Amino acid sequence: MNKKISPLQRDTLIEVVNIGASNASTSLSKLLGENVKVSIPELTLNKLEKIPNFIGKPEDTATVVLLKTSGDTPGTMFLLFEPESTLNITGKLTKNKKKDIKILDNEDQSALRELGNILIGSCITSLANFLKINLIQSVPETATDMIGSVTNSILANLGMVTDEILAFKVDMIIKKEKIKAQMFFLFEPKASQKILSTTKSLIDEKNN
Amino acid sequence: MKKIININMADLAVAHENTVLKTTGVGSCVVVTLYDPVKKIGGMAHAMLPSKKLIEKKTFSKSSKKSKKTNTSSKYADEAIEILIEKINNLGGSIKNLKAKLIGGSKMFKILSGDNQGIGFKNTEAARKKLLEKGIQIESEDIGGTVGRSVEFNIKNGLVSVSTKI
Repeated sequence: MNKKISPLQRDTLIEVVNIGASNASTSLSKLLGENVKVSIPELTLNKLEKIPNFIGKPEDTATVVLLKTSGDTPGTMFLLFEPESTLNITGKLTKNKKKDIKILDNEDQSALRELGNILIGSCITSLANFLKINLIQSVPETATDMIGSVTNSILANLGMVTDEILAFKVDMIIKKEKIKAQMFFLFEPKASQKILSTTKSLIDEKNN
Repeated sequence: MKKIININMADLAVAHENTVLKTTGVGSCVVVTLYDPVKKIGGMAHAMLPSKKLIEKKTFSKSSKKSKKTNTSSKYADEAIEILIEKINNLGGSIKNLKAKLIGGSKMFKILSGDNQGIGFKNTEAARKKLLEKGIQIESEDIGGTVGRSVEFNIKNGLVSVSTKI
């Protein structure tokens, strides 16, 4: 497990995640019928306890839709919405906008889970197709709480297997509806090595 | 003047006199507060994982070699308690007077822990075990559930307040 990754590896990883994120944003755009702006993925490779600051302010409230991925590149993926975005997006999906995230009902939760399924599903499918690897996603789960609480639960579980984590952040913004969805990918080092080696062999294959 | 010390994840702090120790966003982590009511010295640790021993078993031989070199870390519940006791001792507190409180250890996601009790449970168990070993009494606990907590620990009177946002 090397602490630093070379600029080329960095670009490769960002590009690979970008493919997944673009597919996810296309799905989001089709689902809502709106234009979606997607940012370039941000990458960090850091110690477990430094990751929360990368994700957001620990004391802020947010809604998280979480999926676990298994197969060749094990890791965790999740969507994160700030309260306003949560209400806007559930309102748009269920046609019944709530005034407060504390009163989100089963229908809203279900809509969010399905959203997670669609976005992360399309992302995972495109990654698996591009890298020709085997990736399986779990059922989604939602939680609304302080960002710190949610993330440290996720990180603690990754902490059982690794000290360092490779994390990606992608913002998806729908300006008209005031929705900002942040998509996070947390890979175990083993998974990022796998991504790097497969992309390298793909490039070599093409050159020969 | 009241001084506020903010404690991050996998971090700890000890203080005396007019100080408030504070940590936000406690999920499956466990927060341990130790207080010496006689000398009015207290400490708080925000531990993320149960025990290094427990993890070494699971990881490969390569990484366990690496972690042997590293010193004790406040990332682990059992080691964090040891560091806290040592630091309180350095400030003039006594282990005989110490009283402990445990906060956190919730289970935010079912899919991450499966049918097991999950990491939150393991964290609190590790903390309890260590406190028992050191002979420190646990005064009160606010453990488990599916909720995130914020903790404030006032060293002046030893009061611990826990708040939730949802």
